[in-house]
Amino acid sequence: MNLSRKVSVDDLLDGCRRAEPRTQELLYKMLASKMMGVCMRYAKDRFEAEDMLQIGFVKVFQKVGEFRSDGSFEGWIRRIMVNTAIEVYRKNQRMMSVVDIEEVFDVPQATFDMKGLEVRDLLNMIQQLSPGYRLIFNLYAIEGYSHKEIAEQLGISEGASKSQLSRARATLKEKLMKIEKQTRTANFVSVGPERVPFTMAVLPVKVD
Amino acid sequence: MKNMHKVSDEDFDKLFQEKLYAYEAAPTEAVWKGIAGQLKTIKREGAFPILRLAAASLAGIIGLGIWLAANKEPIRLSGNPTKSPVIQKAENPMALAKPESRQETKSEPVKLNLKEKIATKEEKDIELVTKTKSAASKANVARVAVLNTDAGSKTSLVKQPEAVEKSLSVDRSETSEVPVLARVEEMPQEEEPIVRDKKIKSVGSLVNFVVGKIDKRKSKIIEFEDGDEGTKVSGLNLGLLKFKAKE
Repeated sequence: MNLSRKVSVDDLLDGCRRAEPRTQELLYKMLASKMMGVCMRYAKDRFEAEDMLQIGFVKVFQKVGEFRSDGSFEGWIRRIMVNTAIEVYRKNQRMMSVVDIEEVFDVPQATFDMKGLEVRDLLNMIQQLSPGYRLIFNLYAIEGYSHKEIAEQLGISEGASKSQLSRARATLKEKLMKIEKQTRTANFVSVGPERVPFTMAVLPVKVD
Repeated sequence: MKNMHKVSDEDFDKLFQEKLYAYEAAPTEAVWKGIAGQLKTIKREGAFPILRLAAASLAGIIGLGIWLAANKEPIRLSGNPTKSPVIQKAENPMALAKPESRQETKSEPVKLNLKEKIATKEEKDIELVTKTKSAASKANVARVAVLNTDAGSKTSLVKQPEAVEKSLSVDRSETSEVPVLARVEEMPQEEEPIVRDKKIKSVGSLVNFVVGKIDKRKSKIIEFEDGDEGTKVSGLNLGLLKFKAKE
């Protein structure tokens, strides 16, 4: 791995274009963890994420000849992973899941001391979202896609993208509030060495 | 709740983005194994699929041809296995085929085969040749040779090497008891070049023809079909595995 750190991803482009197995493996080793991180956000669990990662890298090695050097190679690979996640979603869902109005909660605006939240906890929250919410929240909030781009990618209207996003946010906020309640209770009740679910519980709440 | 800060949607999204955009997780070893396996499969399947199919077809045809050739003698009931020593004696076929030896009785099998060859090309000569052949088998060998030169004197010198080959591969001495009709039927089957001129328009049809000769089943081991887009395989019959394109 030390050796692989010295070589940049762009240095491996030519070898990958020539389909050299060693270069392909080196590229994979350099980017596997990063791309697995991307896939983990789009998947419901680790197994689905690994499937996405495998499909995505096979595509990368098959389509590397199509890569034009106008952007970074790593950025291009990342986009392939995201597109793979979209394809997997489409395959699984066939169509965007229409969420019942009853499922959507009108969550009051509240503050969450999310700096205290661990990455793992946030990831779990996203993974627990329904596939449609998860996909759109990832694309918009984390990847930075516009609603127009999402609508084109998924074959839906921009309005549908917006409403799905706001519902996804509402669901996440509701989860955070539940967690906050649990941790507050745990903070009052538990004085033992047990791990509190979120560190936010022990941080002071700002008051106006 | 009222005493809490309100979080805008943008800030909410940003908080997730900051935490999760650069998130990394190590996959298991199985993922690379899966990728490498898939890449190998893709490489193998993508490498010259047409050539591989052609090579497999050719190997199948040659193999079947060899197998059928090995079993040819028992199948051809008209053959006379007892005459095989005659073939062995003709170790030097060119000597037998020399024109000056035509009048000699020793070269009789060669001359008779020459006659048959001519007879297949000229239907009128069939009866003559076969009759003279049976006549020759009784006694008058020298006279038959003279008759033969009437029919084949122009071509005999040119065709002799082929005739010699025939005499080596097929036992047809003048003493053969094979019925006339059976022998006349056999000749076109072995005269491949004659039929080839009629049918061969593409490599596929050549293979069809050869397969048709050695494989008498309704579904051949392999069949090609000439279409608008070129020649393609229209049928396979490998015993248990059969494939036939829709007509």
